[in-house]
Amino acid sequence: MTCDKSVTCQACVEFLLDYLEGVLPQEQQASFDQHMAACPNCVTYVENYRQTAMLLRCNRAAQLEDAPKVPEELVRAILKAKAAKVS
Amino acid sequence: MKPRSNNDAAPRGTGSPRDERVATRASRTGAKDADQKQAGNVGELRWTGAVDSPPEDQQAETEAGQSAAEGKGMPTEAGLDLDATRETNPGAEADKALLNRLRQGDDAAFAEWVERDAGRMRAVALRVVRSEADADDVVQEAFFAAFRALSKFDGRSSLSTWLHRITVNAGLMRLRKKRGRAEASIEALLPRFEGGYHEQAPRAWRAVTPEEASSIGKRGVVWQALDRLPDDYRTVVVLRDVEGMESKEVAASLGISDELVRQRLHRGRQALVKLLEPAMRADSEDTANPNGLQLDSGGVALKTPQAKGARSKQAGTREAGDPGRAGGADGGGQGVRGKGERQDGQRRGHTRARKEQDP
Repeated sequence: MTCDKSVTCQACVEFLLDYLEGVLPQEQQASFDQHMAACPNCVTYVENYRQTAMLLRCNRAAQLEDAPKVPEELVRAILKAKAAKVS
Repeated sequence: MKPRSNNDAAPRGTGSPRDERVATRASRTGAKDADQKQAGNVGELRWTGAVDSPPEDQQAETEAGQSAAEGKGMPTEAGLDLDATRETNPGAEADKALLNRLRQGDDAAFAEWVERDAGRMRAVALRVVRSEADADDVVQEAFFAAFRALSKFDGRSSLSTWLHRITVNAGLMRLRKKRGRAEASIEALLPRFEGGYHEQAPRAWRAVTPEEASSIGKRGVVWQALDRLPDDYRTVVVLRDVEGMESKEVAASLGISDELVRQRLHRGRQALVKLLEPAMRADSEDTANPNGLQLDSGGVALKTPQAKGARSKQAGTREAGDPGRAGGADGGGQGVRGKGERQDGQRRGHTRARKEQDP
């Protein structure tokens, strides 16, 4: 293991969200930076984590592109229910 | 504080993802959460029914309507991350004209609104409740709730954005009312460590472009992975990362603290890293075999829906800072969660403490 021993991989992963958002205390952020610079495992994990977030975002975009046409029966049901409740 | 261990988790059972009636700790719209504090930007990660019958749950409709009428949980331009959530904006002028007609009780305008937005709202509802029948009911409830609250709509956001929020809340209400099954632990899906270091070296994923990521999304890979998350985590990840809501908004909708939203988001993402790895790693044959994608089971019996009631040995662990965890109004009380979930306000302090104790 070649990574910085002052911060463990477990700590980096546990506080990865804070680390990536830059909300950790400055000293701690620097320690995490040092660890990341020397730990290929954590670098790989961070990249996979980022890709996961991108996949989630793109998943929604894909669904919007292919948004299915709303079923006619649903439209009718909404209009019928609204008419019944308003009247 | 000793770093949590992820190695003692119980497996989680899953059922058929789409038609499975889900149960989750969900919305307490308008719940007070004095402890909430605005999370910082997620930075570079912030990529930011029965249709023929009326809603079976009149109470849900009533709550949704009241919530809307009171302005609770309603989107505002300031309160919703429009960069992340903005869908096709029909245009402010068109919105204004439609709104005026709606407020005048123009039935044709209401029909136009439904025709225009029901498809997208149904997709939103489906992502939240996962059942087409429930999604249809949710959309119906959302439109009626929105209609009744039109006088409260300030017009600063688009009608679609406003309706999106109402739909999400209606979906969360439905989830909460349906919740009844025990919740599984997410521990089995979290990375494991030995002496503070990765137990197994993470495998590099192949680089994908946003276009390729969309293609993967269309094949349902991401959704299959999401469906394998425990409901509490899945709901947060869907609202936060898929629907693009701010942590603060998600917290308000779920009636939990912003801090807990962040914890669940992070853990949910970690679990997804594990679940998606087989399909995403550099040596995956995904590209050559798009229909044969394999997701990591994370120790879960993926093909045994009957095992969905599997309980964690951590059952009964109460989640601090999460109203309703002890059961009661939510009909739950079987909350199971990761051991590492921290109470509000403790995270920062624990960071340093953990660092000091790490080997």
